[in-house]
Amino acid sequence: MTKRILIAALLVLCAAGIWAQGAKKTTISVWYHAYGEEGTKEAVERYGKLYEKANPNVSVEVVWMPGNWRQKLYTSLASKASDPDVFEESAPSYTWVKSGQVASLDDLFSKEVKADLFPSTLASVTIEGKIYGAPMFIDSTAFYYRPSIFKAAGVSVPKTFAELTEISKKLTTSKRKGLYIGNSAGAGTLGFMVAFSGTKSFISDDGKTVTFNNPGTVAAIEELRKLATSGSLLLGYPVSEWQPDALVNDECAIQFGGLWSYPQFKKELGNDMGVFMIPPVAGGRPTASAGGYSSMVNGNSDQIAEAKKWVKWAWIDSNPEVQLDFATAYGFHVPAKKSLYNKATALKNDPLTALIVDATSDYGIMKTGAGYGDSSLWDSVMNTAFTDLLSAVAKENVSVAQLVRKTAEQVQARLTEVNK
Amino acid sequence: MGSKSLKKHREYSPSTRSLKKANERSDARFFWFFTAPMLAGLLIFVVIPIGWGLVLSFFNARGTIDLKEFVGIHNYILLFREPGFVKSIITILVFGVFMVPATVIFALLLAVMIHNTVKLKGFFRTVFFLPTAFSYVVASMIWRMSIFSGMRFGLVNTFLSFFDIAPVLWTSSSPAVWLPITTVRLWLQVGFFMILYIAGIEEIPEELFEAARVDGVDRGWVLLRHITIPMVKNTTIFIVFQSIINLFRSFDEFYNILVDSVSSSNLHLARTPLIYLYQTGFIAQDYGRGSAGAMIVVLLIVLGTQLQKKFFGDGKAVRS
Repeated sequence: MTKRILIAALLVLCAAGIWAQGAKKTTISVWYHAYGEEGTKEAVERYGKLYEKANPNVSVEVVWMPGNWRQKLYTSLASKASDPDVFEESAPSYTWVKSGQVASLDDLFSKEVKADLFPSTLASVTIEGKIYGAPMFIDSTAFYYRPSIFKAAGVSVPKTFAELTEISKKLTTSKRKGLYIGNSAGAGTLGFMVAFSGTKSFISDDGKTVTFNNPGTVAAIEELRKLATSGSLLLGYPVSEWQPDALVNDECAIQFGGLWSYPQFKKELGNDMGVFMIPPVAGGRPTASAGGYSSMVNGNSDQIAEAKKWVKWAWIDSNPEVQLDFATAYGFHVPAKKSLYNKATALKNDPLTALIVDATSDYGIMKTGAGYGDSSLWDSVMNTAFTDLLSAVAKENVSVAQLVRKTAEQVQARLTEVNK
Repeated sequence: MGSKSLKKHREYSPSTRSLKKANERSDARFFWFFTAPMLAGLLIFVVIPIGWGLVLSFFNARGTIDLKEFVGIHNYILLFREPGFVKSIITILVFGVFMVPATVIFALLLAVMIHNTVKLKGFFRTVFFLPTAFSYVVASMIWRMSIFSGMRFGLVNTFLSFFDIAPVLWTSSSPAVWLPITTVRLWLQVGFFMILYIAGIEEIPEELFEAARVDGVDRGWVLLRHITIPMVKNTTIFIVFQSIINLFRSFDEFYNILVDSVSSSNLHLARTPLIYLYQTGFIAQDYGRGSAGAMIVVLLIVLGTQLQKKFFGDGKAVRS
């Protein structure tokens, strides 16, 4: 009896196998880094299901990568594995393009789509005239604060970076620090934006020379140091600035943070909440960070065509079900397309988010290359050198001018190397 | 012992000579049968990667692990011009000058203390050994976020506040950062080395101590200095050897104490060679330069252990 059941089961299995063979499903694996906001993972899995419904011969495998995802991704790309088919990064790198690790998506962008994208997003995915990524969204940052504390202390929103330092000092009490900008005292997004405020660029337009070794950068970094050593910064807090905890728990009066945390800030602080953008340094330009992610196709994938179809469906064609949902239903992101931003009522109708988005689209510096660069040639060796500079300035008694010069030499050596 | 006498017995009986040969053949077969998987693993996962790394270090391998453009020792020259890499080597050497002796001293002291404990010996041994089974990453996070948190409510800072000392930024300022780094490492490593020392101490013949007592020596320090320490020399040699290797392999506790969010990093305060190479090799995808750095680290390990061998011997001659 059991024997018969076994044989029957085997036959069913065989039939299923043959049927599956006949259907010839292609599986495309799509890698995401672990987004912190609740519901995001379920959302990207749902997008996969939506696509499978419309394309029954394709199955979308979502790979969610917590922790050190860059290492896994980069190793997989360099070893020319076919996996992942689709992945995300802030911007494609020059090295990837040169070594064929990323496929060109040039043919997927119509004139209308190009005109609809925020111009800086398109620039960040274009290398030597070709497009290598589909901008998914823009990530902005801002300072969050409590107007009630400002009112009680008699201070108003700072217009310059020096004013920010002054206010931060004024707001510091024995129980509460003035400002939280993360535990490295600015060696990150904020520090780069302050430096950009003092200089036109880091690398010249032709990609040959380092351009940040100038008095403007030095002066800007000096201002950052004044803030870092003012004694008014909250340091050593166990939760990073990318989560709302420090301000919400009343450990500081102002906190630097991401637009993506806006819904959480709002939920916790209610109406006692204000935002302002990074104030420019004396004589500098206003800057705002514009991060975000782009969807890219592995140049060594066995199924580039299928992968490109997915990217086109998810992030290039008009697809509010994915693009608008992702930008507004979990953490807040700015859709990469202007038309969709106009439909994003959650962002557009709130004066605070509108302020952040408008500033970001007006003068945001789109993350290009690795880290916080403004050129695709900016790689992570250069980014590490500059981060070290910012970190040293905040903690050690060093000459800023000398350090900027040394770092510029270091970055120039690397740039020459990369250009070769 | 058993096999030796068996052999002797066989040699006396000529009729078993062919049997002996067959036995040897099957011995050899068994040798290869049992060691081949290990040797194959060693070859595939250790020997070939080291060889490949050596070859790759002479090539320009940015964004690829293919051998495309031979550049000679260019990668090595670049590394030595890189202030970050040179600084990381100096950092780890200075750290080692403190760390290796500290590991040996703490492990030996704990072992001697536990050996001389009358009650609850097993309990103390287990308690001190337990951290060995702990994850470096988790331990570092506990050190960073609770014990050595820079906030006033961090454990150490709370303690300091009783003496009216202002909160110290343990994980984001130098030289304060060295306290969490060294303590977490000692906590994680010392237990294992302590077990080795306990085993070594228990091997020391009791007569030696008795003889010393007969000669009128009853101070613990003298016994430790003249009997225990010389008698566990082989264990010490092994521990120093292992500590030197661990030193150059430092990554986890440094990385997890210094990096606390995606973009904010204090790595420049205490970057180890492996963290530098991780950033160059895996993140910047410069595999040529990464491999060159790995070769330099391998060389330093070999050099360190050779120096140790020269000064302390390799532990072979002591017990014979």
